[in-house]
Parts: sequence; C-alpha cells; structure tokens
Amino acid sequence: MFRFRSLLDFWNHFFFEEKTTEGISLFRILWMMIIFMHYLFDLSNISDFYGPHALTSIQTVKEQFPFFHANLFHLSNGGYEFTYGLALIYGIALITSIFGLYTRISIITVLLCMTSFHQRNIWLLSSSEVLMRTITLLLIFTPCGHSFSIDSLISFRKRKWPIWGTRLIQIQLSVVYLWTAWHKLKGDTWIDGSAVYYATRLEGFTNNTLPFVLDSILFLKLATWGTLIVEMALGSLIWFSEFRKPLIYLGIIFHLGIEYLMSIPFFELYMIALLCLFFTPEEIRMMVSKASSKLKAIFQKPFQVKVS
Amino acid sequence: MSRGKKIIISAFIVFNFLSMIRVHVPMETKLFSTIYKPVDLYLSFFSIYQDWMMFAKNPSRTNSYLTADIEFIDGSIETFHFPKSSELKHFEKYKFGERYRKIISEGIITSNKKFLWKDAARFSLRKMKETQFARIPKRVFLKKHTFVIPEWKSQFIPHYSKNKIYQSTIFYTHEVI
Repeated sequence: MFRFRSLLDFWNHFFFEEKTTEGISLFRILWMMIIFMHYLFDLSNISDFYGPHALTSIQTVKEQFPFFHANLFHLSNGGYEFTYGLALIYGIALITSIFGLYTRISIITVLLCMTSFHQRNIWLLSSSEVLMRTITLLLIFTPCGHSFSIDSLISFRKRKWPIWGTRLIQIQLSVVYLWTAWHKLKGDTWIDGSAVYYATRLEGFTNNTLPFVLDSILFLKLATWGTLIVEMALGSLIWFSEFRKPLIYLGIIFHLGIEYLMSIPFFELYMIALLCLFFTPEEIRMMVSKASSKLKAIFQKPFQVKVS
Repeated sequence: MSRGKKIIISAFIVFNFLSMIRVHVPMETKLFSTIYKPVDLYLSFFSIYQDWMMFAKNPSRTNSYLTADIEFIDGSIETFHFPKSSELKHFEKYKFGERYRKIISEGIITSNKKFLWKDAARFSLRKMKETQFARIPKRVFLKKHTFVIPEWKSQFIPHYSKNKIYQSTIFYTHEVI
C-alpha cells in the first residue's frame, strides 16, 4: 500500500507538476523552424516526389494503403493544383506555428499536411520523418503557445502548466536512444567494433571525411563502442540531475559529429532540438538573457572611425 | 487539476507508452492483440510506427544505385541515371539525395517492393522525354548496380575511396509499345 502511494506520488510529481511554459514554447519555435527549413528544401521536389508525375504514382499509393489514414491526397486525384495548394497551406501553418498564432490549430494543420506529404510517397522517407510526425503530434498536447507567441500577446495564457506533454516528448527521445542501442547490441558488428567502418563506407551516406582518423581501426572501434555507450546514456542517465547537463552537451557534440561525417538530412538537427528540451526553464531563461545582453552589447557598441 | 482530468491524461500517457513500444511487442497472444487494437488505429492513422533501427542490428553492407536503359524504336539505347547520393553536392544531398537513396536501395531494387518497378520505369521515361522528346521509346530496362563491402579483415577500404567495382543486373523490363 505504501509502495503504491509513493508510486502515485511520483507519477503525480513527474507528470503533473506545474512548470513554466517557456521551455516548451522555445522548443516549438526551434522545432517548427527546422521543419520549415525541411519544407523549403522539399518545395523543389514537388514535381518528382509528390505531383501527378512523381516517382510513385498516386494509384500505387492508394493500392498499397487502402485503409483510413491521415492522407489528404486520398481525397484528390493528386493533381498539381491540389499538391501546390496543400504545400501552400503547409507553409502558412508552419509560419503561424513558429510565431504562435492560433498555435494549436496551426500545429494540427502542420501535422495533417506533413502526414499527407509523407504518405504520398512513404518509400522515400526515413527516421527523420517518423520523428517529425511523432513529435509534432505530441506537441499538440503541450502548452507550447503559452509563451513567446502572438497568442500570448493578444489573450491571457497561463504561464504555468502541468508538464505531462513535455514529459511525453522527453520520454519519446529516450525511447529512440534506448531502442536503437538495444537493436544494435544484437548485431555482431556493433560488438566486434566494425559497425562504424561499414556505416561510413556506405556511399549514399558519406558527407565529409576526416583524413587518417576514419581509416584508423582503433578509432573505428572506439567510435562503434562509444556510439553504443552514448546512446544508452542519453536514453537513461539524462533523467538524473547529476548527468543531465553534461549529457545534453555530449549528445549535441555526438549529433554534430554524425552530421559532419554522414548525410542523414535533418535527423541530427531534430535530435539536437529534442535534447535542448532537457534544459530546465531556469537554464533556458538564463541562456536567453545572456544571449540578449550579448546581442545588445554588440549593437550598442559605438562605431569607431580611425582617422590617420 | 481535477482528479477526473488527471485520470484521463494518465490513460493517454499510458496509451502513448504502449504506442512507443508497439513494434517490439509480440502480437501472438490474444491479450496483446486486443489491447493493441486502438493503438494500431492511432499509429496507422498518423503512420507513426516506430522501430528506430538506424544502422541496426548491423549497418547495411551494400552500396547501390539505379539506372534505366531506354531502348527506342530505332534500336538505339540511352541511359537515364537516377540521382546517386554520393555524386551530389551537399545541398543536393539534403534536398533530394537521401530520398533517392532510400527509395532505391530499400525500395525499388528489392524484390519485396515490385509494385514500385513500373512507376520507376515510367518516371525514367518522363525524365528522358525532357531531352529526347522526338524519339519514340520501345522498352525500359531497370538495372541495379550493387557493391557489397567486403569484410574489413579481408579487404580494408579507405574512407571516401571511389574505385569500387559494381555488379549490374537488369531486374525489370517495361514494354512501352
């Protein structure tokens, strides 16, 4: 009985403690900005990937996914008018999400458009897009429009809110790390230290090189085992206050390293944004005030003109 | 927050936990398949089945790319090269390189996604028509080119090495006329 009571207390504290909404609101801006960047990159692909003359035809998609799901393309014949119209709505919804105007409705619209485009040609997509859909869906349930938003300027929004929505996103991030580490532990190349060697020799993923380093067996082995350790730590130890901050920084370096070496568009940026959600609102407030005072100092510096 | 609200939200949280582990839950037992019916509806509606198997259990060891040989009625053959991520600039990789890599290496050239073959052949025809608009195509041969990375102990390939010998196989013929 006592144990059940303490479990209940823990649950209540963990999910229903009221916290300021600044953290999740800043995350909304960061998340939506990355998606907007992704969207801009994808605009030039409409003809090849989503339009009526795309690599996969709308008929194939309808045959493969005949069940009820969030794909607005199923309501049309997939013509250019519909595709560009949907892209326009998607873009507008992304902008209003960034600025926090009708935030929840905007995010729901973003999710619907995003899912439709993804389902239009799902065979093109990888983990980045699954992450996009999963997190954007969870974001709908958070008070991410309560701070740093037009919504909060035009009407009163509570600045403190139960944290359960943010917790779900944080748990989702842990699940990503823990599942991937778990699967890798079942593979022999991750155990014998050769996995990073094979992954970096896949031509489709190569981005930049590190002369000598990526040809050193010792480095390749350390990078393989290091990946497992970092992923396991990021999925578990990040929840403990002693490790949280160093792990956030380690995670950011880890993802920037992958971004430099491998071409997995946007995935690392999404993961870095998610890691930032582990900063406390106080830490975020401090970072924002530091950044703004630095910016002020830069702009208030008088110009010096040297006269010889 | 009222107790009723907390119970509803807690149920939603548990529902999300269940969805996060869905792919790894054995569905043979009746209990699980019953519990997961609503979860499956939710997951398939938003297409958010998640396995997070990036480079797991082992990274793939096959490099691949795709070309389409288009035969015209005069007997001549032109080759359309589907974009190959490794030959693109950084910006192009971000824009479309990874997407072509994904659909080609894990879709079109695999035997379990035969339904993509016809579309890929027609796509190459449309692309070819942009430059060869006056010529009449007769058939399209989809050709996959693969290179399996050898065991690192038997042959160590330096990073960024380009001299790999690919094996080419025609796996689909599309008759135009």
